[in-house]
Amino acid sequence: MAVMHAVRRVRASFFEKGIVRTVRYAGEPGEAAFVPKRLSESGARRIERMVVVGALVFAFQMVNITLPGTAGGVSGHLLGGVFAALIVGPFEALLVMSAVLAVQAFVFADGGLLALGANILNMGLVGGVGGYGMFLYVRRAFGTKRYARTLAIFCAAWCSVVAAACCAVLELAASGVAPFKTMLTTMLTYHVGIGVGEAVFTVWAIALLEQYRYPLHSSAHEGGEAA
Amino acid sequence: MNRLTTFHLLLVALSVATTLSLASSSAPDGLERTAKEMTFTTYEAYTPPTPFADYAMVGVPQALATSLAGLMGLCAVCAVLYGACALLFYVRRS
Repeated sequence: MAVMHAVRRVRASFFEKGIVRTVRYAGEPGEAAFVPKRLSESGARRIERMVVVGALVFAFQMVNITLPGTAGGVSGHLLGGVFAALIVGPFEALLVMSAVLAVQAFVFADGGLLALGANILNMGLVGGVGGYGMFLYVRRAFGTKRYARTLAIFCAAWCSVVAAACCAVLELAASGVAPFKTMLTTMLTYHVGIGVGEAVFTVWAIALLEQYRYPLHSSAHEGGEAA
Repeated sequence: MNRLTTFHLLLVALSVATTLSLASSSAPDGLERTAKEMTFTTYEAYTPPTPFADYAMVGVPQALATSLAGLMGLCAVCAVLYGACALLFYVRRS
């Protein structure tokens, strides 16, 4: 359902600017009477960017890094929800994450088919869309401060990992596999660390992309309007 | 080079998926470790039969297995994303 909403939002936004041709049809009351038939040039470029971001997110999710200072060995990998949202936008990010997770489940037997919906909910909706909301909130809260954007990206990325972990715990506890409290503490112990890695990576990657003038989502720019 | 393009970023993704992934840690990730400590199983058991399970291609030398799996995965992600976008958003080049 959330994915369908994202599809509608993205599709609508694709046709916002530079419509090439429109065709009139008898719309339902309240619906737009004009439906563009062809994709705008900017829409085609955004699809290209979504593909690239999907490739990057997949590639970086493959790299597991052992957390320092943990007994027995725990590794973490990037999730990339906030990273994707800052480049292509929150709802596009949800689609990107869904595609990446689906490929992981179907092709690599990672994550599992039955858990795919939960994974999309945790890492796509909570991690991506929620993380983006966090970014906007923190950024607005710090207004014109010089490091508002960097701080906002850091907070959003860290919170997206921790929130995704909390949601996973909620879902697992709801299905009754383990007691909620102990599972939450164990899960958070690891994901607080993973979140720091994710946050540092996201800040670094976005700064690098901006330095080399790769187009980011409009609100993610240094001077951009936080809206 | 003072401007990153789609091509550069795809190259980055490719090199990470085929090269950096070799250095990937084999320790269980946060969720798997929690599952182990709490002795519950996630539903990972219900997975489709695939030649790429656990990011290693079956039937090729160990040294190549992960890189090839990464390459195939990248192609799959790109194809799925582009295909889905094309279907959903009517890409028709005039």
